[in-house]
Amino acid sequence: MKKDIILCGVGGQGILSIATVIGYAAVDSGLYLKQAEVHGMSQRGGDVQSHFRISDKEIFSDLIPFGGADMILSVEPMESLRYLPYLSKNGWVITNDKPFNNIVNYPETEDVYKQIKKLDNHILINADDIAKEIGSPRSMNMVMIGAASSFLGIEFDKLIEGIKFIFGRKGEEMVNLNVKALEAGKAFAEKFNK
Amino acid sequence: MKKFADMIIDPEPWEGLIMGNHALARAMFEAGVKVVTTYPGSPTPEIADAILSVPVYKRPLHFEYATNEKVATEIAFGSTINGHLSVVFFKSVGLNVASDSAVQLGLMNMVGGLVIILGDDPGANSSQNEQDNRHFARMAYIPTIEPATPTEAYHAFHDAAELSKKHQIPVFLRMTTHVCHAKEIIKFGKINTAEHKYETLFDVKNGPFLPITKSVFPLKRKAIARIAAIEEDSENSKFNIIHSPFGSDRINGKRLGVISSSMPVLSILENLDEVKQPVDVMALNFSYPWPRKKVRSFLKDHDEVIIIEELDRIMENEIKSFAYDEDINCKIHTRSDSEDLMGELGPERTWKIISEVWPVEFPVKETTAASSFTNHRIPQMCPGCGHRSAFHAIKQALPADAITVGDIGCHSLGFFKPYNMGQMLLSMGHSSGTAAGLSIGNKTRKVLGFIGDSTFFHAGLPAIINAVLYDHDFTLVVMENGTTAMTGHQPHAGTGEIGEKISIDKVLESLGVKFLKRVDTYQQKKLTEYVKEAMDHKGFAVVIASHPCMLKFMRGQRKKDSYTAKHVIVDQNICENHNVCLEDFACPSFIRNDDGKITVNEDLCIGDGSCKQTCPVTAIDFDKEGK
Repeated sequence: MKKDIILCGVGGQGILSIATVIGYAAVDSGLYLKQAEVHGMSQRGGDVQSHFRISDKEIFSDLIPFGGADMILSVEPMESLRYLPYLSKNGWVITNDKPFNNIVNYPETEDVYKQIKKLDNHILINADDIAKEIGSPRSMNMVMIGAASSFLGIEFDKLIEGIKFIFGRKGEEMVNLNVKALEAGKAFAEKFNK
Repeated sequence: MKKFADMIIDPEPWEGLIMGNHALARAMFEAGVKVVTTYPGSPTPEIADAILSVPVYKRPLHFEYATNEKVATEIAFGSTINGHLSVVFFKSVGLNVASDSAVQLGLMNMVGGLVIILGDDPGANSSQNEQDNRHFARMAYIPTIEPATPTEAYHAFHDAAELSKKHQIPVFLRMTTHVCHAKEIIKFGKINTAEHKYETLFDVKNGPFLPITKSVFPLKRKAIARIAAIEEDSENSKFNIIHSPFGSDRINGKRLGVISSSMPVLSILENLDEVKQPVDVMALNFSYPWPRKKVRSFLKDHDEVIIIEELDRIMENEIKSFAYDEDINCKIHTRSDSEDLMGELGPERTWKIISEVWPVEFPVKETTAASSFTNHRIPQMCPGCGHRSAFHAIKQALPADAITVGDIGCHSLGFFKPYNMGQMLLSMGHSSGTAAGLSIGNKTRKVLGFIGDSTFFHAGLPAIINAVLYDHDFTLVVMENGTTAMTGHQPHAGTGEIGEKISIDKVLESLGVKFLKRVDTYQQKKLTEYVKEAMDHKGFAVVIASHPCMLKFMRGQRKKDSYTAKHVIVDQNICENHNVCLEDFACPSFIRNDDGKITVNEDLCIGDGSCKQTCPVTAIDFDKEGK
């Protein structure tokens, strides 16, 4: 088992909490894990990415080679397209559909969607809306993990443990809302994964 | 579940998923480090975060944010010759600031031990260049270890501390951006909880510490001899090893090898894993002095070797000249494309380098083209940032042909559209010197320079004193945001978080600055006026354009229970599409919709209202519920 994932989005969108939940779940499952990211200027509304590698065998580099990613998991649609050179032939692009529009030359949203829909394996998910529906607008990230969950090679229960790990201190209600978001994301993605 | 602050200082061994920088802090606690100093700079600030997560009463070491990297180095020097194991760390270009003192350290005895952690930045992710500090190692006679992973960084710190104590030399622990921020599971050891007494052990007999005339040659002789002696440590180091994951068989009758160091070693192993080729990889992560015996036999054992290193041709040149001297009959390949002297060497980069030498075993790969629907997101000032108001206001005051001098900090972002301010940049605090130079003999164009408040103290003062002394004819705008913002809101001399606040105004007054004004940047009209006056003033003038960092402020606000989100709205009945908010003030919270109407992205807007005054028809207001 080896999963190479590019996590991406815009600085401030909270990619870190996605990495923390999946990371906790992977470690809890006894898997090897390496994660690479760049901090610094990218925090100021720039594009951010993290290489995330999970395996049952030892991993060499923390960087994924071009053509090597099993998944691009993006919390922003345009960002999901930025890292296509990393995607493997059978890889999946799983992306939130809500644009983070902080630049004057953001492309037409429909054009971005068209590019995503051209890909063989993609899930375009309205994660922000789903999170709002369940009453936790800030749980968009957990919806995204849910959408990715069946491709991660990690048991779903372990992801719930990961959520308990990071939200546990904020109380049971917070944990439940985020688990709900996770499940909603999973349910959405199951439509694509048949 | 334990909190990070408890884990990092837990005396018992544990293992967990942790970042390279945090692992270094743990290693310091384990190794019994007593004094740590720094000036904040990416990619290293998280080392300080981890140390400071431990409350002072539990923290077994003295930590200090020094005024700059040179001061930090000198504090570490003073404490090590007093017998305390000491650490100083900073970013790549921080070594330039520190170097005046740092280059002396290799000549002297570091009595308690000294580890200098460098955050080199291949790819210039957050630096003004990607300088290769391995050059400094040679210049300053300082042994260097370059870990490739967080686990290696943790062990390398221990080795560096031991090596330093053993030979009483300073040791460079050269991290790179990726190693600093990579995360993996690390097994940590124990922390020795025995109490350390800060005894004053300084003794001139441990010296000489005075490199003047007569002692310069003996000191240099000793440094050369020490580097020669340390080669034996390098021969035996666990960081200099050969990886043969797919055996060492011949390929077409030839034995092939690669010599590399640090992160590229992992990229190369990744490449081998893809094609399962029996190529040997020699990692020289204890890279200075490198082990000649080991390298000699590696070269002799192989018919062809490629040397692959990140950044400059240091190992290439040294190993090739060594092979020539030793008359070794091994074909040594090096990078042929000068592009490969730049940036991080991830797996696709090392593949390309190897492929150019051995195209049959490592064929050229096809890659998917990047999508054309991905425009670059320029790093930008945050919504509500006081610098945006400042740039917008200053622009109104500047003649079109004015010359503007940038400096390091968030306000460097003023260079980007639409502000286009700060047309040149060298280093921390260069602005007053450069602006002075631009003003000499210049009777036609106004000159205006910027400097941040942390930089003012860091390296700004000498050039400011010079400007006062010669009364150079330019305006300096101090972009004060009350923190060291770009690197993560560290305190500085002017914030009042460390000791009593040192007032920039009082410093400038006492220096004798004749024109000095202070204004909150949200008062844009007043700032415009002041800058105009300052530029009309004949001679050196200073305007302090102040507003607290709103990213820091908002983080504090959002933690409060009473916090409610605020934002502004654009009244569509009033808006005449002058587009000033969007195009000139350029807060990212404003969006132009497909129908041309301008609206507010409520997720981004923080409701500071600094934009209101920019609208020529006052169409922007706080939203109606009075939020």
